[in-house]
Amino acid sequence: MSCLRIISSLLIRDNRLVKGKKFKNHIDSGDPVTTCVAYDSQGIDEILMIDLDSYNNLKEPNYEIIEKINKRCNTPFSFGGGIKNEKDALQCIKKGADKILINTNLSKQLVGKISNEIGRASIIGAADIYYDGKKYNLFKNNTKTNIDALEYIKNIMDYEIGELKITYVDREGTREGFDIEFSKKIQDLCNKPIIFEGGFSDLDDICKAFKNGINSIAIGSLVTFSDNNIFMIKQYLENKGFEVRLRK
Amino acid sequence: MTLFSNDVAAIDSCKEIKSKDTIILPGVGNAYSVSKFLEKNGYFDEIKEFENKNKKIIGICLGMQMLFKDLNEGGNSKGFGFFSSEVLEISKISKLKTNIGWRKIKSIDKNFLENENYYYFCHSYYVNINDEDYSFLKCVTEENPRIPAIIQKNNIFGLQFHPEKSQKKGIMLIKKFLEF
Repeated sequence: MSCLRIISSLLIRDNRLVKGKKFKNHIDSGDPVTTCVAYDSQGIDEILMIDLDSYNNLKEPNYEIIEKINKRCNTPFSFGGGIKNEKDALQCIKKGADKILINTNLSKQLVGKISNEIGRASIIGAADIYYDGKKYNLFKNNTKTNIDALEYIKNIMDYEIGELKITYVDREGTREGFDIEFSKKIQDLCNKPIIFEGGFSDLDDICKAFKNGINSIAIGSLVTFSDNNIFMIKQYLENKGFEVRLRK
Repeated sequence: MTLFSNDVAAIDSCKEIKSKDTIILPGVGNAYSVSKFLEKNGYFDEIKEFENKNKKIIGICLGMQMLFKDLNEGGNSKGFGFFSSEVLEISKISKLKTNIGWRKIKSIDKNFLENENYYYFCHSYYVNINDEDYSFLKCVTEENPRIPAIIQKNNIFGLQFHPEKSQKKGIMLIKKFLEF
């Protein structure tokens, strides 16, 4: 078993952190730079930041925030939002991001071009999915599509991406519990690392996911709006016999 | 990262290399594009000359892989050739096509590092160490497949992981190599 990866998932809007439920009703949750510094000192394994302002291609990527954070932290940092071409991607890397995330603009052609510039290990392909009561579908451009989630994921596995990020839209921010069964199905399809996000209710819920073979998770509400901190979560996991990296 | 900002500067031209004591070849990139860029802009000769003077070179991630002879990402391309091993796709030795995350590394060469620590890896190609290079291999990842993590020959250091993104332990390691 390899070392488990705990990633902090952060959303920003107008240079402030925000957190919502099921991709809606975002409320202010602090300053992005000082929050990243705090996670860095608690030994987070990675930070993943999505800029909602540039998410729908309304603005160019927020290079300034990438630079500010990477001047103060030496934690692996991924950024998503508004990356439309290989130039945008390269600029994110130059400002200090280790990886970039592509969701709305994800296509084989675009990813191929970006990979020629920054290498595929630094590209995260992301898919948001929701459950309609019968089946799992893709959620894209703020819309519930009828595209089958597993078919879509199978398809993007052929793209030049280094890893995959899955977010469960209807669980995101709810703390109603992680979807283990479907995550296992996704995992069986993929030959690249996968980051899962959405719905983790408590520390035992995280343990359950890891026991079922999940290796990397992104958490938001669980640390933003509760007494948990990264060190505590990792200590708990270590006590349960999992391999985590504790900051010593 | 500001820790070394007074002493460290990014360069824009290969002509600046001569005046430096140490050069760091950072990671993140596509091997083919980087190799072509460095070749076109005269870096190959400058860096080889730098090495001839026994000045210090530290290669990180793709920067480490550039120290080798043959690279394969994005098509065949050449590295500086300080080591002779080939750089291959990680899927040749691993179920997953990318190695991402914190991995514990251990010394092969006893006492090269006093402690085993976790460092951050993010790569889809690895160095397939050959017999000729084996004596320069200092550290590998603890878990299987054992990925070459640190290689060193005289004043040339190669690190497959990212010490600059490996929090406190990573910074300590950069300092160690700068003072080596």
